[in-house]
Amino acid sequence: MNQNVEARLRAALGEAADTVDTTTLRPLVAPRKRIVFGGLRLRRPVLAVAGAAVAAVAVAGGLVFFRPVAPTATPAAGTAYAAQTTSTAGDISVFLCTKTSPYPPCRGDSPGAGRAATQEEIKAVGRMLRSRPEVDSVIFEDRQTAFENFKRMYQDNKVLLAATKPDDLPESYRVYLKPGADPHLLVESVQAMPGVATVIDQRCMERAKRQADPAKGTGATPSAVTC
Amino acid sequence: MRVELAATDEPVASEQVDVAEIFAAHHVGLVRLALMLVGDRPTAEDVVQEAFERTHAGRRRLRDPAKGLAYVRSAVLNGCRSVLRKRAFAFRRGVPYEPPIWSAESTVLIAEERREVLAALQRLPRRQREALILRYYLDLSDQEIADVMSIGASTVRSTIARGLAALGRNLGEEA
Repeated sequence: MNQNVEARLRAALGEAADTVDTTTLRPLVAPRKRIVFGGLRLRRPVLAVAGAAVAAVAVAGGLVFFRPVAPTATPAAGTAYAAQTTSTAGDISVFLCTKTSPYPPCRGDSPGAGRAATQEEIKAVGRMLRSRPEVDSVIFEDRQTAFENFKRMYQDNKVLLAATKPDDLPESYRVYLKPGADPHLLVESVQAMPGVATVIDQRCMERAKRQADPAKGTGATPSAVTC
Repeated sequence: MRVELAATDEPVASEQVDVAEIFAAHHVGLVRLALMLVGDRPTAEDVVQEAFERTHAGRRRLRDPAKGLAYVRSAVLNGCRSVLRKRAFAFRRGVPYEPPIWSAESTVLIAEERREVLAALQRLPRRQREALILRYYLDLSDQEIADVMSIGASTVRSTIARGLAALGRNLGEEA
């Protein structure tokens, strides 16, 4: 009796197996590299990815109001700005918390929630950036400069411009890397510092945008790409 | 898991287990194995991909390179169990998923007689089902199945015997 069952089982499993043919098999994706940091293994932090995704949504939608109930367009202006300053942005942009910043490190239960980055925090971030071997130069962009850039970028959008004050825009560090330097470790360590809202790897964003552009007609958004 | 994992990053066997190589060589087989357990192909492919990532992350903790394949198969098996567990929950919440290959709604073409066998297999207890698939699809020996499932070889033998008998009863075979 068992031989019969065995034979039927073997045949059934064989047929089920044959429904998966090798030609259409989805190829395996290589696992992402984990970063060894002072003997501690880290996965890429969720915050950096979430920040990039928020920024990418802002790019895709042109202008996204994250909190429609807010009296002004402030968080949206900040994030839209963070996502789009690619022309003078350097290799990595480190945006600092503002009072209305929607990024998770500036909100929630963290000690710095709901307030702008302090002068101490800003200086500490600058010191850290300048001390890194892979960094070529660092430029601090204050609110007024950010506002000038923002005005240039959105000169056609009178509504947004009228709603935005220099205080709405985040201060940031523009970091230029030495040729061939790997930005990942720097991005992760800066992201973890207090007062930092989001860190954007501009070259990765550029790549993501380029990848997404041909697919624009099909409704694909760059939010699928994480930097 | 019967496969021994070192607790910390203590020095392990000099030869590293090349998880990527194992997956490259056994990818189809692993997807098929997962397919028989979870029933639909997209999920099966996901399970294997995830197992690849997990085993790749843990490859340094593997003491015995000879057990690499068993380690990988265990990871796939565990991934399938986890999917089925989540589905049991999702089902209570009414979240649908693709009909499994053994259901009549499946778009995958399988002869009715074979489908009956696969459906009967699904009605067996988990351990019997897993052991039968490992034996009659992958043709593993008792010891290999024991390694993959983290049970004793004698348990494998008795589980398979009981599983076959139960399957025969499910299919209405006369003793």
